[in-house]
Amino acid sequence: MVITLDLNGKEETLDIDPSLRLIHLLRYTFGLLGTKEGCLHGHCGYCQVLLNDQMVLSCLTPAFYTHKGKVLTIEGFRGTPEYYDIEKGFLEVQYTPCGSCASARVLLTHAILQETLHPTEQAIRKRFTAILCRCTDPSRLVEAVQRTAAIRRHRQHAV
Amino acid sequence: MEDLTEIRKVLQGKSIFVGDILDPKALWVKVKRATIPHGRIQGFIFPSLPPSVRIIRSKDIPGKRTMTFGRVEIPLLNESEVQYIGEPIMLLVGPDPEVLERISEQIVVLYEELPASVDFPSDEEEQKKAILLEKTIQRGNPDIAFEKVHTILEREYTTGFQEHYYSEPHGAYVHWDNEATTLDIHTASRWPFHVHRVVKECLALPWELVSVSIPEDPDTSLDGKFWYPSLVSAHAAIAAWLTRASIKYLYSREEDFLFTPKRAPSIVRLKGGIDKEGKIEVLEADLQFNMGAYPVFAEELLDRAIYALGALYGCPHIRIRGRVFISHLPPAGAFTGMGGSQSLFALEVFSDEIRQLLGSSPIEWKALNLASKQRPSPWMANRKPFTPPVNLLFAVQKASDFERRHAALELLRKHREQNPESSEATEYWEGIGIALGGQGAGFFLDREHRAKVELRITKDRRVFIHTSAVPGSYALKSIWKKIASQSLGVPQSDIVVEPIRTNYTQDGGPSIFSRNITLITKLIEQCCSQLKKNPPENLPAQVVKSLDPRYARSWNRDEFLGNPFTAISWAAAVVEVKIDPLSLTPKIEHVWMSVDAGRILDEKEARRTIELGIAQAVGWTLLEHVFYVEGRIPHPLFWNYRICSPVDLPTPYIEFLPIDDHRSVKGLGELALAVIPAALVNALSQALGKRIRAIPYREGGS
Repeated sequence: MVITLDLNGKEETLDIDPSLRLIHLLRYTFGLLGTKEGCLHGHCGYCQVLLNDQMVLSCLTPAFYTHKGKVLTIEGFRGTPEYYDIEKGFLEVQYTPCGSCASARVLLTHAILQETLHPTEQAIRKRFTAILCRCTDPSRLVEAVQRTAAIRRHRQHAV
Repeated sequence: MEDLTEIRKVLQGKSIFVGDILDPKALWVKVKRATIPHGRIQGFIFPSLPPSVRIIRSKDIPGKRTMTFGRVEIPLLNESEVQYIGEPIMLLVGPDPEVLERISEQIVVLYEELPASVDFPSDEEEQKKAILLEKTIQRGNPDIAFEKVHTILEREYTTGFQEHYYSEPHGAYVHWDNEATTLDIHTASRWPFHVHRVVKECLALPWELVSVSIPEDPDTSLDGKFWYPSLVSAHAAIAAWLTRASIKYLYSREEDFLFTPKRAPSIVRLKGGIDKEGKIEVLEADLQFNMGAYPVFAEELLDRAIYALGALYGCPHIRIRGRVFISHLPPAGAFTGMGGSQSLFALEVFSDEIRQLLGSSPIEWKALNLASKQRPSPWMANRKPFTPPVNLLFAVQKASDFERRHAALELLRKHREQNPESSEATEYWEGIGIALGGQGAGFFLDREHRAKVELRITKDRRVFIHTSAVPGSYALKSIWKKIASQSLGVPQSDIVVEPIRTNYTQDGGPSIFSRNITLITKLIEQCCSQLKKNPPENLPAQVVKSLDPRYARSWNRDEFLGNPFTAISWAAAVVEVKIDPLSLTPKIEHVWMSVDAGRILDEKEARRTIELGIAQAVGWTLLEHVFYVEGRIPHPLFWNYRICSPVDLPTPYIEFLPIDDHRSVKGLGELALAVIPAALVNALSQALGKRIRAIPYREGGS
């Protein structure tokens, strides 16, 4: 079947097998390896990307589901000012997730900050239950997201 | 100025794992696995094979067909007597993983089924058959001591399996190039030299023709990648060698969960004799581990477990019998806190039961019984005594107000039990618990595997650190760079921690048991201080230092004499919980830990390491249920397996108290596993008014 999607700001049209998963479209058709393949069962959350500004598990999302949609992966996000807020916030508090879950954590932080620039500790903890990895100390994660929120507030205020 | 290049790469999604190596020409491997726990293979029925698929059997392996760990021989492919469900029998190699999967299902293995034992052996006859290793350590005269004591208490504690849940399942990529001078293997491993050795042996190649590299991105949960990557890499290398093609070989998460090693479960039976003053005079222990079909490093695990049981209290008479059993389950063994965490869980719940029986407060009882110069632990007769610091107890008491809270919650519980209709009985039940513990740094086999560091400084003052270790985190690399930067006056951006090259450096042993932070850091400091003496005009210069394993040589593991560790770190923990009286589901309200880990090189990183350990310990104690039914993990467990998430843990209070020795750098990665399970279970027991003696906890302790 033929689908058209906005992938990282670029329109793409392609003919796909209806059983193709979004994660495999991203990784093997477009070579976007920043989206990591964890469990393929929607369990670990490493493969999450933004589809129409909502976090989705790309392993459980059929690729055709993105037809006429907007997909943002870490590759499309990492050059943006919003990404640099997150990088700065994470580095300032020395929050260093592992390479498997980092992309999903960065994108989820972005999604949270799109909703509010004052996320509470409880809300952050709850949202991040969607990513299961042994690499993360929850209190540093909360600190990192809140620091990023402060950076973004400051930047937006300055603008 | 700290060099953040590598961390930026991670955040930008640029980490490369085995699964990220895209080689369209690479062939795939599928393992045909045993489907029964124990049986003799009588033959196979093969379907017709497409020309693109090749089957590799044990007889095709050109070199050694097993991996050796001490007295344990693990067949790379087992075509004779399979020992567990999931044991590799043969390999299928081809360009399409789905075709391999289908053909694998079509291959019929004909077995003669043999009796299988999958649990701890229950009677003496079964125990005799299943025993791999037994050791009894005694000090004093326990039999006479038991006759003289005032009170005797006997209890049994059990701990379960735990899944490693590393970030990428096991896998390996082998690059085949007809022109290449080496066979290059890329895999995530804590011990790449071992991978190298196994591949070299199974292909009968000289050492220099094999090269093993590991992903740049350190994986904090690599304990599960201690020895199993050697098996996976050997399979990939054999397939590459025989097909003359590059191989990509990656387990699915499910395959990994079902068939690869887990934390070994334990049964610990303790019998303690207490005198009139409440002092523990005698302790008898029966320690048992089920390490599955191939118990790798069984003695290391057992020794650590035995040592932990005797390390805390000044008990003059002990007898500890430790046994490792084999069974028809996948191998189980190394995990953070190897052996020690199982023992300390049992010991610290037992000590809480003793003090409850005596009506003492937990702090009072521990302070009375902690090992000291006047009342030494069984191991303190050894040359260099390691003493658990009593001040840790007082520090955690002060931070948590433990004594008052414990007494208040005890009163509330009693009131609730006497008045079941009261509001206290229907609201949350609360409990608070305390535990002490420690971890030893160093590998008992350090005498065989000498950690090594080579430090080079070039003419233009760039520094290259080459070690035999796999750094477990960016922070550790950063600590090493910081040490070199401060010592040599070189900016961190001019310092490179080089990747391991197994065909260049000598085997430094596995990067486990805090060897990186204790041994490698020390060697880097030594290299720097020697280079500092080098006049600037004498550049380039190079220094090589390797571990002098005097302490390891002094250790007599049969008699438990000498020093087994380079250092011991200690911790005390208090955990407070709430339990929903309807669902009996616990929620952790507070965690406090006081830690003596010597000189702390980076406090933020040290806190992070402790908190990661707390999450792992909470998972093991409360959430992570793995068990086998007739040798197989029931399928729903994979779907329901849940590790600790951010909502399961409050922000812990962690205090570092370098009481014992403020100059040495010690390990701290295992400390949470040593203290949190017992503290948490003691808290649950108080809240429920019912003693919990088994983990993982099931609602209500049933």
